[in-house]
Amino acid sequence: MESFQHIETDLFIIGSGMAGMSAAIFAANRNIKSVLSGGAGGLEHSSGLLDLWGASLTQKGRVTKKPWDMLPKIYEHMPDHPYANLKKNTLSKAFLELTTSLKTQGLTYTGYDALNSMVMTPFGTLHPTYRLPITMKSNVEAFKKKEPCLILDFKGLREFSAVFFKEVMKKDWPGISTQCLEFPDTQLRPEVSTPFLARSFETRQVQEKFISLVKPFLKGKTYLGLPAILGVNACDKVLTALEKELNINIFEIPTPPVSVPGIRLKETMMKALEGSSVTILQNKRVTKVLKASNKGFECELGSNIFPAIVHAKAVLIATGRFLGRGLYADQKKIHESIFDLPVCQPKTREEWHMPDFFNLNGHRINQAGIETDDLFRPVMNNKKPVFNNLFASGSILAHQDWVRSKCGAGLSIGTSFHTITNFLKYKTR
Amino acid sequence: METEVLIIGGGVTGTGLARDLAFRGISCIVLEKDMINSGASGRNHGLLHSGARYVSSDLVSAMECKKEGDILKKIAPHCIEETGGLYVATRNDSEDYISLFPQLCKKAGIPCQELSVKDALELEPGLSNDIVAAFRVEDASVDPFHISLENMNQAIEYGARYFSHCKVTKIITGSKAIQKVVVKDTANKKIFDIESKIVVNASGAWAGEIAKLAGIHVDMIYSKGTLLITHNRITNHVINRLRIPSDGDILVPGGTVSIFGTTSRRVHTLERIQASIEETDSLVREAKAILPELENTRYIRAYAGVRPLINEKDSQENSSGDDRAVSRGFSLMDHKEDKIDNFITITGGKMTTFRLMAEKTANLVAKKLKNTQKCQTALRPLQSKAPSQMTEAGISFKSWTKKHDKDDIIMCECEMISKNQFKHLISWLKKSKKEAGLNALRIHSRLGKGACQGTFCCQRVTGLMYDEAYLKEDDGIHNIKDLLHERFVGQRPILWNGQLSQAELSEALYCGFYGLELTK
Ligand SMILES: Cc1cc2nc3c(=O)[nH]c(=O)nc-3n(C[C@H](O)[C@H](O)[C@H](O)COP(=O)(O)OP(=O)(O)OC[C@H]3O[C@@H](n4cnc5c(N)ncnc54)[C@H](O)[C@@H]3O)c2cc1C
Ligand SMILES: Cc1cc2nc3c(=O)[nH]c(=O)nc-3n(C[C@H](O)[C@H](O)[C@H](O)COP(=O)(O)OP(=O)(O)OC[C@H]3O[C@@H](n4cnc5c(N)ncnc54)[C@H](O)[C@@H]3O)c2cc1C
Repeated sequence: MESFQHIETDLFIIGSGMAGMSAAIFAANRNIKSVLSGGAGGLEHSSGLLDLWGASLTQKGRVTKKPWDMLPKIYEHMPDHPYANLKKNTLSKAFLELTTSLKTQGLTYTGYDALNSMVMTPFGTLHPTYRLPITMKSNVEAFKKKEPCLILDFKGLREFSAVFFKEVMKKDWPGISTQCLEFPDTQLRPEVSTPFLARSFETRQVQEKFISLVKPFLKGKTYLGLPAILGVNACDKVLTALEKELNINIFEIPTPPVSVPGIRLKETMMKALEGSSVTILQNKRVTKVLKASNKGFECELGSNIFPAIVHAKAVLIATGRFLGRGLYADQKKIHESIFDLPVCQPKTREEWHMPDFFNLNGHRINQAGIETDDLFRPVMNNKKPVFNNLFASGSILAHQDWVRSKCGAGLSIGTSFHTITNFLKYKTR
Repeated sequence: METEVLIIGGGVTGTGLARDLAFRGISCIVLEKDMINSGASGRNHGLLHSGARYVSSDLVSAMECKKEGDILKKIAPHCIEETGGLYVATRNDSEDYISLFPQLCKKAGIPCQELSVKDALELEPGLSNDIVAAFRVEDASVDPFHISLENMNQAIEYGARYFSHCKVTKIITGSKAIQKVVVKDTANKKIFDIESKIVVNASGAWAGEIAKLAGIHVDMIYSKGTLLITHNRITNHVINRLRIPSDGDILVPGGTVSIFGTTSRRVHTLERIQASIEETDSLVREAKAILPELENTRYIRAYAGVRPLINEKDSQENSSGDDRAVSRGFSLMDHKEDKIDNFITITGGKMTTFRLMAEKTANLVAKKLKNTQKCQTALRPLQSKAPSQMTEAGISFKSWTKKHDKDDIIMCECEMISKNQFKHLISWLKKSKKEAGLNALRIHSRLGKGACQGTFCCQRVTGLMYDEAYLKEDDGIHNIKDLLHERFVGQRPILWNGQLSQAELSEALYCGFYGLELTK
C-alpha cells in the first residue's frame, strides 16, 4: 500500500502557471496558509511580457496604446468578460503588487505609466504590452528612435534569425545591421538553446569573452539587440554590466518557446515564495478529488514517490486551458479536468473553430470555460456557486479570448488578485 | 511557347506521362495550376494496391493493380515500403464474402494466404480480438509525393519542362484541332499561350472542365474521400476490412504515421474540398471494429481528395448510389472521335496504375506523332538526381543518422529533418528556380507534417531561408501565415484531445505573441 503524506491548509492553489503563481504570491503577501501544486503550463512558453489589454475595441484589427481606455468598453460591451468583474483600481493594484514582489527578487519590470509599450518580436511585429522586463526597455525605445543598431544571432540557435528581423524592419528602419556570432565556449555544441545561453551569460568569464567578441561590430551603433538570453536569475545585473562596459544601449528580443523570460518569471516567483506561508508541491498534479463540500476538500496528488493528500478549507483552480490541462475535450464535449465542473461551450464541435486560422474574431472555443459569480466561484447552470469555497482564476475562465485581446498575463494576475483579496473577506465572514 | 506535347495536370498521371514521353525523345511541357500533387495524387491513401480490394467489383482493375504493383516495386523500391497487407473480417461482416474472397483472389492471380485469427493477432497485436477471419496479401505503402517528384524530375533530366501555378484558362480550337492553349500564371497574373502538336488532358477530376474548354463533354462523377493521419504508426501492415468496400476500411502505415480512411461522398463541385467533422466522426466510429486503438489515438490531421471517376453511360451499376461501384479502371479518350484530332484525355484509374495509364497514353501520342520508340518506363529505375527522398516520413532521420555530421542540427523534431538537409533542398530549389518559400519546402520534404504541424519548425526554417538569402523583406511572414493556415484547415476536423492543446499553443504563439492575425 502507498502511504500518503497528509497536508492541511487553508487554501489549496491548483496550478502553477501565471494565474496560480501570482495567486500564491498574493497569498504569501497576506500570510494566507496555502499549498501550491502544478506542473508546466503556458508560463514557461510565454514571452515574459505582462499584457493588460492590447486589442483595440474601436478599430478591429488594430492594437491600442491605451489599455485603460478599453476597460469601460469591456464593461459595456463584454459584460461576461472576467474583466467586467474587476475595477480599474483592482487591476492596477494587482500589477503593482506583483511587479514589486518580482523587483524585490531582482527581476525588474518597467513600462510607460498607463500606456502600452510596443515590443519588437523576432518577426519584426510589434507586441503591445503593459509591463515589460527592464532588459526590453531599449527594445521599445530603439524602434521609436530608429538609430543605428546591431542585431545579433548565434550559431546553432534555431529560435532567432537576425536577418529575418532586419529584412522585415528595413523599410522603416534602414539602420539595422546583423551579425552572427559563435557564443563563447560553445565550439563543441552544434546546437544551443536560449536557456543554456542565458545561464552561461551569468558567469563573468563568458561576459568578458562576449564583450571582446562583439566590440569590433559596435562602431557607430547606438543600440545592440539580441535574443532574450541575458541571464535567468540575474538579468538586471547582466544587463547593467554589459551596457556599462560596451557603452551602448542593449535590449532583448523575446523569443518563442522555450522562452527565457518565461522561465525567469517562474523561477523568480518561486524564489519569492521561499519561507512564506505557501508550501510548494512542485510538479505534482491533482489526480483525484476524494471529498468536496462547503466545509472543505480532500485532493489526492498522485506520484510514485511521494503521494500526498491535501486537506484544504478552500480551493482555487488555476489549471489553465487545454495546454495547461485544466480543460480537456473529447470528440463531443469540453470537460473540466478536476471537479468536472460545468463548462460553458458551443453546442457542437463544428462551432469550436472558424474555418480561417487567423480570422479577427477568434475561435469560439477560446471563449469556452468556467463561468463564475463575482467572487470568481464556479457556478452551476442556475448561476449558484458549486461550492462556497471553490474559486477559479486565469485562462480557464469563460467569455474571454486572451490570445486575440492580448490580455494573457493581466487576466491571470487580475482574477487571481481579486480571488485572494476576497478570500480573506470570505474567510473572516 | 511551343512544344510537341502539352500535358495539363501535374499529378501522378501527368508527371508519369512526361517521364514516358521524355524517354521516347518527345518534347513536352507539364502545366499545373497549383503545385505537384495538389489534386488527388497528393490526397490519397498511399496504398499500393495488391488488387485484392477490387476482386469482387472489378476484375480488370484488380489484375492491373497486381501487375503494376509488381513493376513499381522493382523500379521504385525507394518510394515503397513493402509492408504487406491483412484483410480481416469481424462478426458483422458478410460470411459469404469472406468465403468467396480467397477464390476471387485466386481467379485474379492475386496471392492471398489465409491466416488463423491467432496468427493475425500475433502479426498485428493492435487488431480487435473480435476478428473472425484474416488473409495476408501483398499490399504496400507508397509515398505519392516522392513518386510524382521523381517522375517530373527524371522527365526534366530528359528534356521535359514543368510550370507550376500555371492554369489553363482557354483552349482555342480551329477546324479539327486545338490551335493553342491559353495559360494564366497565377503567381504573377501574366497570361501566355502555348502551341502544341498534341494536348493531353491529365487533369484528374478536372478532366470534365478541361474538356469543356475544348467544347467536349466528359461526364465526371466527383467522389470525395476523407482520410485521417494518426500521430503514431498503428500497425506494420496495411489493414483492410474484409467486406464489400465501405467507409473506414483501410489503414495504411507510412513511415512514422498511419493513414486511416476513407469515406465516399458524392460532391458536385471541386471548390473547397475539405475534410468535414461529420466524416471524421463517422470514420472514427467505424475504426474501432477492427482496430480499437483508433478510437482514442491522437490524430494530427484530416484531408480529403476527389476521385476522378468517369460516368460511363452503359454502366448501370452507379444507380445503386454508391460511387464505390463505379469502375476504378481508367479512361483513355482519343477526341478524334469528337472531331478534335490532337486532343487526348486520360483520367480515372488509380495511383497504383499510373504508369500503365501513362504508357497507354504515350503510345497513342507516339502513334499520332509517328514516333516509333517503345515505352521504357517499366524497365528503367524511377529515380532522378533531385533530393526528393525527403518527402517520406522517417526517411530524413535515417539519412541524417547515417551521415552523422557533427555540426548539423535538427530543425524539425517531429520528422527529424536537419539543417543541412534543408540547406541542400533550398540550394537545389534556388538552382532549379522552382517555387520559393516554405510551401515549396513543405512539398519537397516532411516539413510541417508531424505532430506540431509547423508550430516549432516553420519559424526556424523561415529563419534559415532568410539566412540563406532565399527570402527577403516580409516574405517570411506571409510564408508562415500561409503554411499555418493550410495546416490548420487539415487539423480543424480532428481538434480534440492532444491535437487541440497543440493548436492552442500554436495560436498562443502566432496570434497571442507575434500578433500575426493583425498583419496584412
Ligand atoms: C506561447 C505563449 C505565449 C504567450 N505570450 C504571452 C504574452 O506575450 N503576454 C502575456 O501577457 N501572456 C502571454 N502568454 C499567456 C500567459 O503566460 C498564460 O499562459 C496565461 O495567462 C494563462 O495562464 P494560466 O495560469 O491560466 O494557465 P497555464 O499557464 O496553462 O497554467 C496551468 C497550470 O495548471 C497546472 N495544472 C493543470 N491541471 C492540474 C492538475 N490536475 N493538478 C495540478 N496542476 C494542474 C498546469 O501544470 C499549469 O501549471 C503566453 C502563453 C503562451 C502559451
Ligand atoms: C480519398 C482518395 C484515396 C485514394 N486512395 C488511393 C490509394 O490508396 N491507392 C491508389 O492507387 N489510388 C488511390 N486513389 C486514387 C488516386 O489518388 C488517383 O487516381 C490519382 O491520384 C489520380 O491522379 P491524376 O494525376 O490523374 O489526377 P490528379 O492528381 O488529381 O492531378 C490532376 C492535376 O491537374 C491539375 N489541374 C486541374 N485543372 C487544371 C488547369 N485548368 N490547369 C492546370 N492544371 C490543372 C490539378 O491541380 C491536379 O494537380 C485515391 C483517391 C482518393 C480521392
